Amino acid sequence: MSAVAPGGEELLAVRDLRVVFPGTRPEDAAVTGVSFAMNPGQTLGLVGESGSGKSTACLAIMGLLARGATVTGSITFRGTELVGLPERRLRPLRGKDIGLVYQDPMAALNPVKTIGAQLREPLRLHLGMSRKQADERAVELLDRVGIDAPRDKLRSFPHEFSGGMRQRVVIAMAVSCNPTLLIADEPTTALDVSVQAQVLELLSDLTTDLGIGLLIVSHDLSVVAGLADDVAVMRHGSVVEYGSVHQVFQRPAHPYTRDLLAVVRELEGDPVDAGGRP
Amino acid sequence: MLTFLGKRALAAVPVLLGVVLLVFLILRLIPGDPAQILLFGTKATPERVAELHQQLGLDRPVVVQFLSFLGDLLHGDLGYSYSSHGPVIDEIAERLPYTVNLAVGALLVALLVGVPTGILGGLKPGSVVDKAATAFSVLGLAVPYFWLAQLLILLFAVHLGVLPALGVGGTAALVLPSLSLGLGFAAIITRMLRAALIDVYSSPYILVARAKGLSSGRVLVSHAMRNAASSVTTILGLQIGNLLAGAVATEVIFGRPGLGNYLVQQIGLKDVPTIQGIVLFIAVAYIVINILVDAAHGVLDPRVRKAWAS
Ligand SMILES: Nc1ncnc2c1ncn2[C@@H]1O[C@H](COP(=O)(O)OP(=O)(O)OP(=O)(O)O)[C@@H](O)[C@H]1O
Ligand SMILES: [Mg+2]
Repeated sequence: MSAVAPGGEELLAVRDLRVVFPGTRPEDAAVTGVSFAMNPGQTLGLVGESGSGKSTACLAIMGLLARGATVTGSITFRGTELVGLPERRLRPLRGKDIGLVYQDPMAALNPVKTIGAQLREPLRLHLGMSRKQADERAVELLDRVGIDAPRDKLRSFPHEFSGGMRQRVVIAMAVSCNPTLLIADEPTTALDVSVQAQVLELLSDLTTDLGIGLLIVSHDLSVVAGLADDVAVMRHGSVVEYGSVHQVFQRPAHPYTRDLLAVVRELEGDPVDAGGRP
Repeated sequence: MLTFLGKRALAAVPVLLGVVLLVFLILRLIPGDPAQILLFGTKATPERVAELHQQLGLDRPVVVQFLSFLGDLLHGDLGYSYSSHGPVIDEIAERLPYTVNLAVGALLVALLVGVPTGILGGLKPGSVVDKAATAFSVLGLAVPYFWLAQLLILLFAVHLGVLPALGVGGTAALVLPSLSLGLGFAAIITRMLRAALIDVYSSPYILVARAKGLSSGRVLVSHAMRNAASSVTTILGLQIGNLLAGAVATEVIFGRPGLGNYLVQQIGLKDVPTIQGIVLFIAVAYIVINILVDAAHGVLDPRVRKAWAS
């Protein structure tokens, strides 16, 4: 893949991650013993049923978990240990080196701020752009994610956009400062089926073009199959299966993965490598 | 925005007509003859009473009285006070500043106390600070303002002697009335803002804003507060009536010569034109303030503006 981190090291390495939310018993940890790694520019799919801890793992990486959540284990991003890193050291990474696309596009944009104002924020904060420069860059970004008449759209409010357009804006915002890692938490779940494919294609194109590592979360194996290099299957807070897409789809080791695959095949009425990479 | 304001002003006309009719009827239905009261202490012979009735136009049929009152109103004429014989509009203008000062003072207290405590509670629900803020708001809502007024007078005017209890001696005299009227509203703002912030902070867009690398201060000021404020203004608009009613009672307690105090006095004298005038004035003020609050809501929230347009 394109971009290579200094020293050729891993982009992201999560080792033995464990998250316990306040008010829950330690044995009910939302995430426990989770490990995976990504190389620069690589795409990793995180799959699992609702409540399996996918979002929790993603937010732990960005240090955005609810107050009081106990995080143990290790998360290294380009060689920097993120677990225990103080807020003031994490903040410069958020939105700059790590972008987030969140699961519910209808609610991911602030309803009372214009699209332009929301796009300008990270540009001015991280890249020190003037308002004018940020506007120019915002127009480029909107154009890049496939929004028509981008200049006029800067003054629009989120409620004037469809779900698919909003998710495109969120994606534009997430990649605006050229991150090396993009975390997309169920980016298409809330969208119409026809729009889902377009948004996935956009994500795939963008990350490939810009050499961004993509951590994509889904409860749908077929979504991940088309995009990812590697897959981690989560259940009850743990990773039950981890390997290359090919490996996991051809020789699923865990019965849960086999069940997931069976569902995909049933839905698509296709043989084994439905949606899988050649 | 302008069409919205126009529409709202137009919609207020029937409401005002209703208020006019109601005030007019109530004043005719409550017992007591204004002429008798005016002649109190003098020799009220039936001839004198009849003469006065004629002077005041009270001998005419009620419908005629109402129509002539309405006609005058359309010319901006509120009539003449029975007791002072001056134009009611002048009587109102003379006393209005005292009431406005009190209302502004109370609103300042409400905002200066209510907004910070609401933010503190809303940012860290369940924390010690939040518990203190909640305790304050429960207390503020439970204690009636007239009782609080007496407590404040006892403490600051009688015991400590640092602030005047009565009269209009400048800003110092405004402190206790503003506090007693404003603290209850501060409590309401605290509760509303806390609830609104907790709700806003659970929204994905706050998470997304934090994921952009914004500091918690920036997230609060430029993302959370505007959303929370738009729901708080709605509640505030609904409370304006209570604020006006509270101002009347507070003026009486603190002996401030404002509109409310004057209204109470004139009710005792059955000074019909003055009572009508003041009540109408308060009704208009209430409606205007509510329209302004709605306009503010639209300024804060583009979705509200969209609803206006449709
Ligand atoms: N703030 C929180 N406080 C307490 N428990 C939480 C919190 N957030 C998540 N959890 C719990 O952690 C577990 C994992 O939740 P998480 O949101 O990570 O699942 P998910 O795999 O993303 O599910 P979904 O597909 O529904 O998004 C769930 O049992 C959830 O109830
Ligand atoms: Mg989730």
